[in-house]
Amino acid sequence: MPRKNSILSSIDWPLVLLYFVLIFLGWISVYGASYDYDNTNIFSFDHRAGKQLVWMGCALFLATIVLLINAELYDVLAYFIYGAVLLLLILTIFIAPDIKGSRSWLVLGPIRFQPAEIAKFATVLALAKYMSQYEFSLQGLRSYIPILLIIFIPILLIICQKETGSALVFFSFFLMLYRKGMPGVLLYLAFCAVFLFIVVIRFGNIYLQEGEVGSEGLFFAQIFIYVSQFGFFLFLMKDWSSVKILLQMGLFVVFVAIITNLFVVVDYNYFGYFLLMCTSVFCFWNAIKNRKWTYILIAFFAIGTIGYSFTADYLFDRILQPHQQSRIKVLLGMEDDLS
Amino acid sequence: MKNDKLKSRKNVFLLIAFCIYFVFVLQLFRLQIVDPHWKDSADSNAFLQQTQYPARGLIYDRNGKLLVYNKPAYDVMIVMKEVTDFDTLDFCSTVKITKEEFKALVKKVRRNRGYSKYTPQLLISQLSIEEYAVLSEKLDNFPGFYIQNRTLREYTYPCAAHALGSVGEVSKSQIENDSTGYYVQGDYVGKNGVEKSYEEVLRGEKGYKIFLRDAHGKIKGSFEDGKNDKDPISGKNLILSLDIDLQYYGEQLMQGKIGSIVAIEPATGEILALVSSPSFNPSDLVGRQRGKNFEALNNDPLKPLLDRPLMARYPPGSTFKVLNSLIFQQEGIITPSTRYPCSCGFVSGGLRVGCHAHASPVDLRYSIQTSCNAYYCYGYRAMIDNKKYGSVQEALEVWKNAVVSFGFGYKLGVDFPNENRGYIPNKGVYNKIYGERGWRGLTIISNSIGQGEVITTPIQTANLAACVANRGYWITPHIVKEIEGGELPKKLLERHQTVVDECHFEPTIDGMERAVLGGTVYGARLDSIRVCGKTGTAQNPHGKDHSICMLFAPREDPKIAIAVFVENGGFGATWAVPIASLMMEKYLKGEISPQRKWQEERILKASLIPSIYYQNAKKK
Repeated sequence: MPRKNSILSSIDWPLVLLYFVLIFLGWISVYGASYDYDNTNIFSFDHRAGKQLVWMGCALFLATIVLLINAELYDVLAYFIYGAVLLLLILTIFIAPDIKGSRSWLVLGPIRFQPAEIAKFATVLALAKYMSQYEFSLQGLRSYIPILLIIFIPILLIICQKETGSALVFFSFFLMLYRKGMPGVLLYLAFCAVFLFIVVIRFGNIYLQEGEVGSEGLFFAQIFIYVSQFGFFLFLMKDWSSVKILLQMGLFVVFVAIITNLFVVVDYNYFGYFLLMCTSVFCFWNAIKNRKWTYILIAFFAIGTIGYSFTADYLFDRILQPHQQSRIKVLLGMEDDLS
Repeated sequence: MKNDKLKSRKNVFLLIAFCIYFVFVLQLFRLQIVDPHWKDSADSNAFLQQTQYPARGLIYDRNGKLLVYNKPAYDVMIVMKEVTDFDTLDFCSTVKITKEEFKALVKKVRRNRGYSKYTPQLLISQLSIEEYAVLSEKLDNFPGFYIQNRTLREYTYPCAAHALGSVGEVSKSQIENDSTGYYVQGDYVGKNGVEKSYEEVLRGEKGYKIFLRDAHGKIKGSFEDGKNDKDPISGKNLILSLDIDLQYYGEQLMQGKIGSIVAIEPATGEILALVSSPSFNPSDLVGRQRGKNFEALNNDPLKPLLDRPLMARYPPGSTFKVLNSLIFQQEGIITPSTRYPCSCGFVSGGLRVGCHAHASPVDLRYSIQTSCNAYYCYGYRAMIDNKKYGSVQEALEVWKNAVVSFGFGYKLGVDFPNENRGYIPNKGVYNKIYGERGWRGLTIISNSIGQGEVITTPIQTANLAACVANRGYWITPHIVKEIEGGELPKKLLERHQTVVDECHFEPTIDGMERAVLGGTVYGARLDSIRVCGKTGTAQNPHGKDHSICMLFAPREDPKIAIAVFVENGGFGATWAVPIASLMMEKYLKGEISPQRKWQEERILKASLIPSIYYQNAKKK
């Protein structure tokens, strides 16, 4: 039985252990949350915990089968599975009943399931198959196109099912792309987008000073953008002398702002704009002087993120559904969960 | 994969993972250890602590007659989750509401604080027993509806509303100010009268039962077989010193009049009757109609909610002469045989205090019998301007302290929550008005006859009668005679000694008895009982004079001291004296003698409410 041995030895045992710990904790949680006064047996199938145990057993059974199937089969079937799942996703849009506003559940008698869940691993398979091609590398815009297609087609289909939450999960593929060579700046930009959004939504309506002067959220955003520019100059351009000038600009503006505030209550946001304007102009000047166009991108970063901070409120109020808004507000501790 | 120059990028993943875990751990630490809110919330999810309400103590009168007891009332509770189709019209007609009202009620329930469709919510409060009986028959037809028992106060007599007080839902501010944290929203609490001042005795102590419940909030059973439950402790019963028959009779007599009657047993300070008129039926402030009726009483121009015996402030009028005669004797200003002249009044310089026509000169006994103003003006001036005190200031202080020792000027400390203090001016007051050298006895001469700056409450005047009856001391008037299984607060039984020695009382009491036998209080004469008394007629800015009278009897071993105020009644002898006298006869003899039935008739029929109240009401 040499083959079986090789499977056992190829298993990532620490990972499996973690998996078991997780499902065990989940099982206990289910038992605790649905405690039944009359039926305290955790193994009873009438109990949710008992049912959970059945599902856990099924999962283990499936996992074993998955492990036993020759890995090459996945390689062969990857695109077929992916294609079939896409068809299923399209079908779901039209035939799924409306369940709590989402049309993502397929109902087959007593069983309900979301094709979006299968789409996750189908996409993983397709991506793995594509990226494991000989001499594949993420270089040049052209190489991204197929990958982005593989990721975004299921995302779009799932959004069409009004199941935005599941669609969001697909964005975690970008972490994997980063590992395979996608520029870190893109990851950082994504981080900026989320961070600025949260800061503006959470602190946008809080004022810096009495008399409702200066938005705290915008102030934090401005500091963040300024510090980011610092980082770009330092790590991307390795331009130490410019960093010094940037620092001097910041100190100067802070000094002027504080002195002015001694006499009149000032809106610190204006000083923030002024500082970012200065640093952006400085970027352009650097670009011309050094003939390095990357500097212009840094300037655009500042302008773009400020613009984004402005629109975050609008995005939140107009684009997001009320239930999504309230979910974010609960997450940020701005509202209590009333349901 | 070998020679992967991007391998270091996996550190970024580690960093991200670390950050996420850090945030999670931080937030979990805050939720589970720092912030108790969620732990409490989880407890309330899993356990239901159901409050067990104790029975509120009963209230009896001095003769053991039951005055206040508990009547069961029934709240309709609704569990929205369990409500299915039912006959709404049938339900509405059963609990006597319209369909619109029902819809409004359900809407209101959904807005309740802490609303959950899984737990019982209050839909209709305080069904009557008849409504309850019909509804409980049909309850099976209305799934999701339940009935919860509560108790309401019930009154056996339609009187003594002010003394007994009422019970109502505890207010928000009261919950916040309650340092013991006993009350929660929806609890009942004494709002005034005895119910309020003896709240902690009457209410008992709440208990609780702990039930376990499931994720939907449904009760699954008792937690640990009730090991942690606590039984409620019933409230203690109160025995009042009130004589309910006398109280009822007093309220009858005061029908159609504004004013007060206070009757005290002098030896004990026990209040026998405490009539405030106009009054209302205490049952009006119970149950569902409480809010509406309270509003109506509150808007009544005659102010029936005002507890006049304890709160109304009047000049004491001539009843004050009794007090002054005692103080003057004690201070050696006069002796019983001192005589002052009176020719229809007291004249000094440009000042004249009028008096009615009577014989002159006047000695102490006759001055009280005939209520001579001049006598007290002379006496008061002699005291305030007396050189032995050093200055008018010091003289006034001596006089003021003497008056205060009779319970005037400050709260008596009765066992009611709403007593007002009277007002006795001190030297500071007059120094401020007239300057330190700008006044003397004549300036403030009105104080001698109970006008001027002196202000008293009816209960203080009754207390004066009790002081005189006791020959020099008083016990804080109080309405609770006994707490079953408890003790009365010591301060209610304290004996307060006045500054006047016992020996000075007899001449004054002589005068008071003569006033009854052949003076201003003639109407209070009773066969075979020696009654002593004094009238008063208090001028006031509202209209006709207030009619005042204080009596005590029998002269030796007094059983009752009584003060009557009839607002805008005119002379004391006209209304206050017969009312006081009828009260006295009722209490001492149990019934009104046939010869005096006409008097009783006359009082019962009289309506003395000045038209000014109605004019004011119309203006509103």
